[in-house]
Amino acid sequence: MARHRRPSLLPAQADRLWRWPLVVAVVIFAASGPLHAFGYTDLVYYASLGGLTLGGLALPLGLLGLRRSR
Amino acid sequence: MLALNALIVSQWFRTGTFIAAGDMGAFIRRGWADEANWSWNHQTTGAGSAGYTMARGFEFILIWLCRAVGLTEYSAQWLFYVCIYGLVGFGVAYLAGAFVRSQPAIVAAGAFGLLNGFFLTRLPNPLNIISVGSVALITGIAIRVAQGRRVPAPIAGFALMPTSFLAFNPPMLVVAYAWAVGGTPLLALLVLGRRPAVRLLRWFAAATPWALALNAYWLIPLAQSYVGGGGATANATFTDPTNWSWSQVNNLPPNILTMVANWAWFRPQYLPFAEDLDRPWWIWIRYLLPALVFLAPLLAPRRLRRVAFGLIGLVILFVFLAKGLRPPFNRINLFLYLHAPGFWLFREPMSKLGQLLVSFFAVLLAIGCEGMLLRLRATPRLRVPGWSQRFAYAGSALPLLLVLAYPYPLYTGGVMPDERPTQPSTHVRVAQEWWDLATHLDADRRSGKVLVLPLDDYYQMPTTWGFFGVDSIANLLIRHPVVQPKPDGYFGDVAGFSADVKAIEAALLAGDLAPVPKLLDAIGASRVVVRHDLVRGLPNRYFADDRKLGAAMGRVPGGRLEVDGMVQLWTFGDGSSPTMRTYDRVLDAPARADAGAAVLGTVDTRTAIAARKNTATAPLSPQVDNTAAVTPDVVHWPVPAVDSGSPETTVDVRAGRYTLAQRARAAAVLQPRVDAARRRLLLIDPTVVKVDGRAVSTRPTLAVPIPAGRQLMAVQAGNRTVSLDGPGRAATVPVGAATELTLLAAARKPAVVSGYAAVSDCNDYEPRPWANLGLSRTVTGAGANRTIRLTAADHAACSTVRVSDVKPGQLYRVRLQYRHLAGSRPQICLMQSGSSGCELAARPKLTNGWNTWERTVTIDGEGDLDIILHADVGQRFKGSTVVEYRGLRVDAMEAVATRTVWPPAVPEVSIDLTAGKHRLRVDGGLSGSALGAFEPLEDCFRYDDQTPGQAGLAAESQIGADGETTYTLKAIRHLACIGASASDVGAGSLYELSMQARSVAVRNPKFCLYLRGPDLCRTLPAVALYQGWTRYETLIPPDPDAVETRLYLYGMRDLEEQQQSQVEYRGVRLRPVASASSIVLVRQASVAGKSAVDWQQSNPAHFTGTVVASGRTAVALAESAAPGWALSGVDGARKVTLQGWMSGWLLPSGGDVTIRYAPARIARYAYYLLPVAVAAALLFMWLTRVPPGRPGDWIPRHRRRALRRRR
Repeated sequence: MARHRRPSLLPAQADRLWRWPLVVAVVIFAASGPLHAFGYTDLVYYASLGGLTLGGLALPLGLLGLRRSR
Repeated sequence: MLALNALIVSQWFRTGTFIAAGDMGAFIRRGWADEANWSWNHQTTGAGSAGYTMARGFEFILIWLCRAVGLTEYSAQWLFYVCIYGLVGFGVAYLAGAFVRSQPAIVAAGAFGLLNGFFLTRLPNPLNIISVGSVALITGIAIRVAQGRRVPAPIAGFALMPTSFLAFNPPMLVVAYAWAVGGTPLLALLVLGRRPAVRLLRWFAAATPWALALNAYWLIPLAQSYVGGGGATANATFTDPTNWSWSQVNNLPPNILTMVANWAWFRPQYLPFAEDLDRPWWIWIRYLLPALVFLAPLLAPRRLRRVAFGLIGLVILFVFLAKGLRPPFNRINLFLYLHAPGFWLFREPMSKLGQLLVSFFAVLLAIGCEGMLLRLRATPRLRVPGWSQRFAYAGSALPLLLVLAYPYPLYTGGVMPDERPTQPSTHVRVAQEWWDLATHLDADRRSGKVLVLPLDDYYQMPTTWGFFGVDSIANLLIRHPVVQPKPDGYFGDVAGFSADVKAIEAALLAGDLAPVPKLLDAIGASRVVVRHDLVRGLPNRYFADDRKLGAAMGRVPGGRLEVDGMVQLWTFGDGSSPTMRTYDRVLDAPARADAGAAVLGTVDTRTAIAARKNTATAPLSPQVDNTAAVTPDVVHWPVPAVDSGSPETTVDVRAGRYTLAQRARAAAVLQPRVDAARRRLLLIDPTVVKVDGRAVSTRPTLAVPIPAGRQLMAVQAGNRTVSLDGPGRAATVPVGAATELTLLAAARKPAVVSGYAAVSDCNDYEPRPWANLGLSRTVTGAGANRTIRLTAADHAACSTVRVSDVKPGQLYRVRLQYRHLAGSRPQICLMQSGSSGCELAARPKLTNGWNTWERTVTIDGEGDLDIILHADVGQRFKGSTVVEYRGLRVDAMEAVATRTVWPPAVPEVSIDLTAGKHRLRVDGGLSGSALGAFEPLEDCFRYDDQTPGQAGLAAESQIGADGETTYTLKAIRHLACIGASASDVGAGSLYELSMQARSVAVRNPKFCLYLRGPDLCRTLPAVALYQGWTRYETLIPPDPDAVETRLYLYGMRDLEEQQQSQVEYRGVRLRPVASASSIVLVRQASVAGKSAVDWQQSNPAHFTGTVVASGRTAVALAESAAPGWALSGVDGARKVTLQGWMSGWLLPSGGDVTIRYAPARIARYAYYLLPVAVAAALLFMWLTRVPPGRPGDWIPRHRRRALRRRR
């Protein structure tokens, strides 16, 4: 008897979510330029850490999201 | 891509110049060419060593090609950079092409490979370029293989060939190969999956034989060099990861992400263009790079999303590793440095990991580019040509174009600056004198090494012809083996050879010239180059004065000046020195290398030494071994420094007649004394060497006539002036080679000196009522006892004595006594009219007893000379300062005679000693520490308003039962320090700085020998590891430019400013050695017979000869005693290291001998394998080629093979 397993919602959720942290990371990096130009180098340091963290967050979400279409 | 590359590289060059700076010398290889293909050569050291110069084969080919068409090495360097930078452009584009399909995206990746911040900060170092290019190419191949594309296995071997250059930076080589073998399968696993990774590993297995066969020609000599090839010693050590933290100073995440993380970014002498790039209107562009890189997964087509995520993951990981010990989470990095095997290779992490980041960023940019193009093409509105389409495409490309535009010095040529502070241009034209000298030397192909003097004090040297960098010009140009040690380079000479070379320079500088020809023979040198192209007087650089060396060479027995000018060439004997030679007697010498050198300078050139094996472990802190080293043939005693009295030692010797000699370690220390009766100045060496209480060796006295009718007051020797009528113990002057001696007599016209002027405020930094300052002076007594007391409650009380009507060139000696009664230190300022400050002079001591102060001033311009005596409070609310001065005397002097003097040589003497113990003693020398008492605690780094107490600074001293004072320093913040002045440093020619130090809590000890004048801490050898009480001893010559020497002991702060650090010092001394000589005794013995050898050299690793001897003899090869050297032809030969470094064999009799460097044979086979492997690889690839067209068009055999591969 064939058993139909309900597909997990997690990949679909991940596929919907992974873009946002990455978009924010891109915006942060792009904004770091003007911040540095105006002398806020401390802020740039923390912004880059934030960008890297968001990139790191997007990574598992994105990889999980790739499983959605399989 | 290649055209863009050629255009960029061409911008870097100027016609007729090399690009050379820092670690990169001129692109000349003619000095290495003859031996380049041999695994034993003289590229690393003139003594000969295992080498892998063939790893540079491509450079030799390019130079040969350029020469063949009438071009020079200058053009060859341009071609070299075009090739290697082209490799980067191609490699990165090739890697991107493994993932993306669109050509603009591939071009964008290649362009980023050429134009990025990493190369902006690393050029002109070619190794980084080659490494990035090779790694990208290898990764591109690996990914294609993993994807199932057809790549013939021999390609792996060809792709690895450029990595041969990385052999000259072993950490870089290891990282590149670790990535190639371990990193690429992991990358394939991450971005492609498990099966592709396995496919890649299978291909590796097939490719390994080809990789080895095609690269064995350099891999085997490289391996031989690192596993006992011999000849040179590796200098690189890794004991503390924080030692390299200076190179990580700018490795913060934002800098790594923008590829500008380099320690030199804020140092305009290295990267002068960085300031322009940091301008606000341009700097913002830098951050578009990480923005575009992180945008890539968002833009990536679905098939590339996994690749993009995989690469983003690697980027984040590499950014974390590349920051090294910089925040955040630096404890994790420190843990990895300390515990992860091989992680020390990333001690400068950005240079290794940054090259992989270049490739990752480039691929991510290409993915983003392709994704963007697909999106644009998929947008219906933009399919119609027109302004919308143009704007959309241009707008999309703009950020990428800005990223490529950001490092504009790369394509404008500014990356190779011509003007930069304190550094010369990177475009260097090698002085013609060096080319001419090389041509002259190479015209004579007979054997003999060339010694280059002065010896470098660091591997990078400043020259007068516009180059400041690795000092290899002699080695690059001259085909003879060149002896020129490079301190702090990757490799050094073996201890025995190094000691012999240093002994030559020390003997020349000290004027002890007799040993020089003997030592030259001992290192196999027949010629000496004395170069006059080094820039003297740079701070903290201590290389010998070439003028003195040149003068000394002119007096060395047997020397002949062959070439004069900017580079002088001195030739000895007939201009050659035999590589193969015999010795009639071999002495049993101590293991200590300097003992061997001292003996070699004493015995004749038919006598060799066989030094005993040094079994002592290398100490982790600098130590001076000044014990007597004794063997049955030799006694060597470097006369030590003593606290008081005379140094003495007891030696147990065999009976016999001994030659006793004094070998100079530094200039002789002589006492000037006037012989009024015979109108001459005597310079007397007061030291007497005594054996069993009997004086046996003294230096003859040097006599200098005094002009009639003049009364000598002082003598000037070099920079040092001493009075002949001064109080205290007799003054001394070091007299070495070619010492300028000036006799100073009372001037015919005496000085016109005023009385003490009224008190004034000479530190009037704020307006305050005079009455509040409490400034006063009191003058009492008369004549020599006339005393002035100055008192100040605040600001400074000063009184001036004026010497009027002074004329340029006149000399005035100012002498007085001072004492400190309360408050701050006395201050004495000599100021000439028109000058902006006081004459540079030693600061008075902070002691309560009377001290004598003396200074001789040469007048620069007409006017007055003011002697300003201070009572300077220094700091507000510090309390009252009271000081007294007395006996002020000003003498006008004039030079009455100037001549160049040399220290009289100490004659060797013969003494008979019975078997047993004998007492050696040196009387009459200097003794005692020059250091005065340590002054009260100071805050040496007050970076905020906290008081010493608030910063947790403390200093204590305690005298132990043994009479030694222990100083304890503590600090939470700032820097606790105590300082002591050393008096009259310069009276001796060699000082021993010694102490014991330990860490009690938090930080290690640190100290500074501060030189006033140069105003810096003298460079001192470092302690590798503090373990409990750690001895520190080092010998240092005084700095002639220093007017005052102070020793500071520090207590460093806790880096987290939480705990109180505590360090302790004891037995702190700065003592002159009692005699600048070493005492050498060599037992005399009759020689049984003479021997000789008739020899021939077939190649650098093969010698044959016929030894003629009446009995036992020793045959030697003037090549380093490496384990691979073997002698055949005479039975019973015993291998021995002669002269401290030379390959030697003790033979029972003469005969025909063959000497070979055995590893060279294997290396030679590997070299011959190269053309065979290339031919085989090409044949293999031709045989296994696939026909053009699609697989559907192929014959079944080819289809089956393709299918098998994909599985």
